[in-house]
Amino acid sequence: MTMPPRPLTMSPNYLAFVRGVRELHQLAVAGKEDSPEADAIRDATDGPWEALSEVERKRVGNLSEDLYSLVEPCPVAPPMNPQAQAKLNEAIAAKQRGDWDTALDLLRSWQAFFDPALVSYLRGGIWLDAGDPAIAALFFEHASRLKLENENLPDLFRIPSGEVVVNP
Amino acid sequence: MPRVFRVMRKEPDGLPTVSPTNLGIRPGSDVDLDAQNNVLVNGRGMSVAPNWRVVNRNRIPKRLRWIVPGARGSNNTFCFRMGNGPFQQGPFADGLTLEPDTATHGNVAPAVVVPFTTFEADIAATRPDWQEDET
Repeated sequence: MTMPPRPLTMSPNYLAFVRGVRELHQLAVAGKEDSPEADAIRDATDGPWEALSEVERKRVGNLSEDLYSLVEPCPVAPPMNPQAQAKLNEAIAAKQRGDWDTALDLLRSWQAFFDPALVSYLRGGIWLDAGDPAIAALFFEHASRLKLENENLPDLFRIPSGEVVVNP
Repeated sequence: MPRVFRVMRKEPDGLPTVSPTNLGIRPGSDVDLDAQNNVLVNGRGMSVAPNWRVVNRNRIPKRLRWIVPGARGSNNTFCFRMGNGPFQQGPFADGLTLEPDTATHGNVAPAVVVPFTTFEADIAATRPDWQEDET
């Protein structure tokens, strides 16, 4: 019998810092990243930042970087190749065993080869299973928006276990 | 003198802006005061780091994302450096000491109990010694 993957352990300082990243992301979407509100959020995250472990610092930095993909123009992905497909499968396998950081790292490293909607959908799934539904919602919303904008995209929302159908 | 970094806004002369959230301190938030408005010598002061790369990512200017992924600071701020010695406790400038509290963070603090205005002036007096450094 296999145990379901365990969500991330999130300390109060980690949660406070992620909340700050999420709020700064939302201010950036509203064009207010240089506002007094944004500076107040930065001030409020100084204490939590100092209390984070190296692993947590890397994780929140990567999360912040991934959130930029929600507001920046989506690149056109080149055709999928066998190596990228293998990495995508590795990312899904990492998600299924609860190795959240590895799954996210693989997606980030190879995202240029994947459809942006698929990347956001998978990120949403990873964060949901890792225990952060608020962050997951941001990525799911992005995936949904991209899919609505391009009806030719494959059905990304019914991915069979362990297999991703990128071409319809 | 220890080498320290701090992210601050700058003036047209290229040197940091003197204000409570740039080159300066916020009473209450950064330091503790006694009833006479003197700054307590308890290790608190103006936050600094041994390298700009280890500063709170929400403060590192966004333009440096290519070096530090996820940086979310304002692009109107800049990484400044002062000093060249090891990041360890000791004299920092006239009236000031460096008080590291971790390997990646420290405070520029008063060397002795002084009025808040004196501490502010001592920090402002370091302005010519800061250099922009985002390498």
